[in-house]
Amino acid sequence: MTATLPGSLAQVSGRMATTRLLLIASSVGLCLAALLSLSIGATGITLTAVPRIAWAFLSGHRDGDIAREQLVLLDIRLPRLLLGVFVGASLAVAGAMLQGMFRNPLADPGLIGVSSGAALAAVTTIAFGNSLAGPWIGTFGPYALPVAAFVGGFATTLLLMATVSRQGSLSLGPLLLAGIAIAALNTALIGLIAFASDDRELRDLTLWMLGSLSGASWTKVWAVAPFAVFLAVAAPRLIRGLNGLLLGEAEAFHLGVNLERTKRAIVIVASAGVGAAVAVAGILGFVGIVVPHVVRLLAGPDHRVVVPASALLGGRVVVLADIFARMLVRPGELPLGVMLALIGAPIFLHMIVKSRMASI
Amino acid sequence: MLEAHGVGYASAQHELLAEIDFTARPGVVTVLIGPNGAGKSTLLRILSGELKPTRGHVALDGQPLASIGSAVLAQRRAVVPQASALAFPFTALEVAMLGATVPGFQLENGQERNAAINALRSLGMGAMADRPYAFLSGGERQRVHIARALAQLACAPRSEGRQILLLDEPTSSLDLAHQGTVLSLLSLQARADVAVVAVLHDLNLAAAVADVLVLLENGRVAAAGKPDDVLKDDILSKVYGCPVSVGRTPANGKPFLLPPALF
Repeated sequence: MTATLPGSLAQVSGRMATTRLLLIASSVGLCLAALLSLSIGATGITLTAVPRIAWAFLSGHRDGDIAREQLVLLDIRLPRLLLGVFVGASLAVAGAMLQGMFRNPLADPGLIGVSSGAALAAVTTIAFGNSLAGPWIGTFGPYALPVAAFVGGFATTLLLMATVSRQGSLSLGPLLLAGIAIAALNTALIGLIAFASDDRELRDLTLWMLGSLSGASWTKVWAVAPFAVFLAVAAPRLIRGLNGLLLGEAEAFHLGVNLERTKRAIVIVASAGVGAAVAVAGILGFVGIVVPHVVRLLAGPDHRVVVPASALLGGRVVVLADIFARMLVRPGELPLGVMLALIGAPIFLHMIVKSRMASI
Repeated sequence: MLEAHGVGYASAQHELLAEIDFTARPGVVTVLIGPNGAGKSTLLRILSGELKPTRGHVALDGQPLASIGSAVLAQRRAVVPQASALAFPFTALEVAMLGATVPGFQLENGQERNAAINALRSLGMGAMADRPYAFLSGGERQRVHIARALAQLACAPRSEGRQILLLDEPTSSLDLAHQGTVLSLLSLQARADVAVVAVLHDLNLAAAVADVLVLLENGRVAAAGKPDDVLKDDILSKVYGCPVSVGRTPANGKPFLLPPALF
């Protein structure tokens, strides 16, 4: 026993080294993707121009060309980049947390009804913009759609929690099943609205549901900033509970996890993150379910790694997919959700085939 | 000291436990025995705080268990459940290290790893520390979970008071040698002033390790006391519903019995 011990311990430390490497690589990868995203676009401002424009901005230069380049870089590309990072990070973190809580590798942010609730509200706003939802649009102007999506997503989560709670306790089995039922109901209602829509509305709502960052603006960045701060503060506090929950609810309790508080916090944090992401970018599948798995395949299931690495990788994946979405059919744009699945699915399949893990 | 006073537990249709008075004392190995469905695991879950009794109450050093927060409780007591499934690919060491993740543990750098490794070694699992949990046999998994509980106790601050270790069938999947390892670890914990409570199915193992035996029958205490006082022909024959004849081990004269069909 003792003779083989040093070797086995070396392997365990090997996994820890991989972990550190993964976090560093993810950070560097996200920075590279960010630079790329800033320097690629329809106007031909390239990577070399970025430092020049940044310098001009800091030193207060504002002549012709530079001013135009500044406008493109600071008012169009930068908010788009920031939103992309936020959307990717929050979807991936929400996915990681829900998979951990449900102990189900198939759980994704759509599972607790947030995405479908947000979609239903958004589709309603699009389809009834000129009639029922008129006053709503009048109040919120161009932000009627994201606000509706956020409210719809959060309302669905609250409804779900109220349905499933019994004597102050949230049972995970019923939560999962009720989430699926509510999502199915929302999808059916969306179908009804789509059925009754005219061609233009149908196109609008279909494109919204495929996801896009094309409407990025600083207003949207400021609108999601509180959620980004909330996620960044709340998620690390849930990591210990998430690790305990991987063993099961009873075991988590034995390890000192306050079960009810932790489960509620996970649902609220995940739905706030997903609600805000869906509100600014529409429905983006794939990130929430696949990114945490990629991280687990590479670094194991410890949430101290899975949560931060998912955030970094999720942000990077969305930013990269957005670059392709912008570049492939210029001057038009492919839907981001389509791009994500087109690039991501084959890569993920490849990883599964290559992986020797017994279970994901 | 962990005490249950008049504890009962009833689900919608069935009364699983009734009028249980029970004390787990530091330095004592208390073993719960009884036929299938007698309420042993339910009692253990109530003692752990996981299940709230529908009658009576449980107190830890005089303080009602229900009023103690989960984190404070976890600093004093560790639990080894009957079976535990893992949804994601942890290694044995990572599972054992989870024992050290209790909120409020003040750990030095590397202490959680050392505690987990020591615990795994004490159960003969040192060489398998980096083995994925999914590839372990039933008995190896059981030993990993016992190691997790031992790591939890080892990392807990001593100032918090005497510790409690609760185990549900810790030897059910173990081979002969490891049954011995685990039972002697229980005695070792008791010698370190831990109050040990274990559910055991095997009456011979129970007789070998227990300082106090509590025999449950249909959710009630049928007999409690020293093994010699509880493991008697008439008591066991009545509770288990079959003729039982208790013998003595040749080495140290402890009670010893075999299933009746084999005689």
